[in-house]
Amino acid sequence: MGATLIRDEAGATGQLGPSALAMLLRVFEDELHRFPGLASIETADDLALEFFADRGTSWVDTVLAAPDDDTAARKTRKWARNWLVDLVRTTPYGALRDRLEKRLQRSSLFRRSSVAHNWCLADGEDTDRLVSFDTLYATASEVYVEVTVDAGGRVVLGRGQLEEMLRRVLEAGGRLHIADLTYLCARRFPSTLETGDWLTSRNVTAEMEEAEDTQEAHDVVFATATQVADSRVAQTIFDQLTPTQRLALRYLQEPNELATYLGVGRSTAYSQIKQAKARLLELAGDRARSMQVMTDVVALILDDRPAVPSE
Amino acid sequence: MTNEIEDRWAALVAQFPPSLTPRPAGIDDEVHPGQLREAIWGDVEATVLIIDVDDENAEVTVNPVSLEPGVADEHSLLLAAESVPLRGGVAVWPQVTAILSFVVLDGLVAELPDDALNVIRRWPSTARSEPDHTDGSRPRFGAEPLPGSGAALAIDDLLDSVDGLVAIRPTRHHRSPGARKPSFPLGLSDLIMTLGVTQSEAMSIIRGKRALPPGQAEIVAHAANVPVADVTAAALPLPEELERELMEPRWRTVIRQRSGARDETEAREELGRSAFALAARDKGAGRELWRQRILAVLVAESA
Repeated sequence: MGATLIRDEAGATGQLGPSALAMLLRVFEDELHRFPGLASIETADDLALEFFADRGTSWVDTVLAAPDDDTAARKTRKWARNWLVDLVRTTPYGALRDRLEKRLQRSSLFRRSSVAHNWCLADGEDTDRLVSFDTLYATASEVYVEVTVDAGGRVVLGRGQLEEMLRRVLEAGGRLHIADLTYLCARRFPSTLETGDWLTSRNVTAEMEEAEDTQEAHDVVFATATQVADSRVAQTIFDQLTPTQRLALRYLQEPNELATYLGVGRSTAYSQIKQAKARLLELAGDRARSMQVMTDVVALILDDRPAVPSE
Repeated sequence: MTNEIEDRWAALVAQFPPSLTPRPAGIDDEVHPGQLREAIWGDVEATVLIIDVDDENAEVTVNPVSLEPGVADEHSLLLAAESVPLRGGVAVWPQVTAILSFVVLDGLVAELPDDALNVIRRWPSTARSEPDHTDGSRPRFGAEPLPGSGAALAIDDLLDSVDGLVAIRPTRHHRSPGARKPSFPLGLSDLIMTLGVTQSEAMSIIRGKRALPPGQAEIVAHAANVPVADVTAAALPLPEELERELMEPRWRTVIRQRSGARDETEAREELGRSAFALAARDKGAGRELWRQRILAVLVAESA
């Protein structure tokens, strides 16, 4: 057990002292390296203080609950990482919500509910239906939606196909809050939240938004319906998966094995499996197709004998 | 560091004072249900709520807890600042229970009032029965963290940490009464000469009250011309009550300080040895007496 300067200083003054500040700045200096897009527009010091302003007393209490300075730093590191992860995801999530609303607005299949922020079918009843999230997700998974990437690096969801998916979802759910629809789409299409460059989503222009609705998407990376039976599909999917996702699909039924290989705990392994399945669904287009290619994809994974990812 | 950073920091610490005054662990601190405690071993740590205490086996039943804002899912219960002494609120997972040994428990973070604890204990029957459909004014899945989000990462880490802590189990020695203790392989005067210790120290060693560190055990083994195992076997295991007392969180800070880079278990055993050596007689021990002896060891060392 090491020094307890952070706690000692707080004991003396009733507030966090200079050791806590030094620790906070050091943690953010380190963690920011994981977020190069963010690092190019914000300084570690600014982010550290924004973090404190946002997390407030909860962070103070957690730091002082730690038995020594090392533990306080470790806890802060975890909190900092989680906070930064959310920070870089906020913008794509907000952008997804905006784009979704535009698609709902422009389609004759839907109308706004009498309840604020809710949507329902144009020819449907404006009432809730008792339905679980899992049911809605399963419904959404059955509909084929092509996921492509446009010239600007933005994820585009198949014209007409997304609308059909939303139609079926609202048929099941009656009326749904836009936040729930956004959440559902983020789960169904995980790549909509992935931004290689955090700046890209900030540079989306009105023209690009128009383009999504009026033109065929360029750069069709993923399979179309006619190619489903083709083993090249499995290869294409395989190429798009990260090493961790490949490992997760390899050990789909064995989370404990996966935990060992990834060097993580059980819960984390379960989450990785869930994410890999969602990604496979997105790449294949719908649940039926993902089941069809699964065997081929896993065969490719086994042939590949990937090294354990170092992340 | 610029003045601007320091100024902003000063404003923030003034705005966010701690919810509770930090105070060191007291020698009379007990483990009670309703306590929020830090649990830590090595670099695995988690905050837990103690639901039940098994005093005899020195184990607690706990629920995982998070102080991190926004960390919650469909299985967690959010305790708002009115129900808990922590101003930022707390999330508990009442249906995730784990049994931890006392040895992984560390300091007290806060104590829940009884009514909050009862709500948690009787969860989910105490959950406000909400119909599955809402009036649409709030999202239905609002509390669910997205995969890969900060909250999801935090929840995974919390559950994995608790799993890791569950695995930490000290070996407890149960002495069978009447078991014969092997005799020390060296006589009193030889031992005094070999190790250069005082007579009373040598007596403690021979009686098995003081265990020799590996280096000294080897010296003695060499002098007595016996295997080292014969030397170390002569040390009595610590009395059960002393072992049990040492598992209490009130000694955790001290043990962690003394262990440095070594295994905590070793440091705990060593502290026990020192207390054991202080005991004038074997009989009439009991937890309270051992507590006083351990305290006496610490006081003597700091003098």
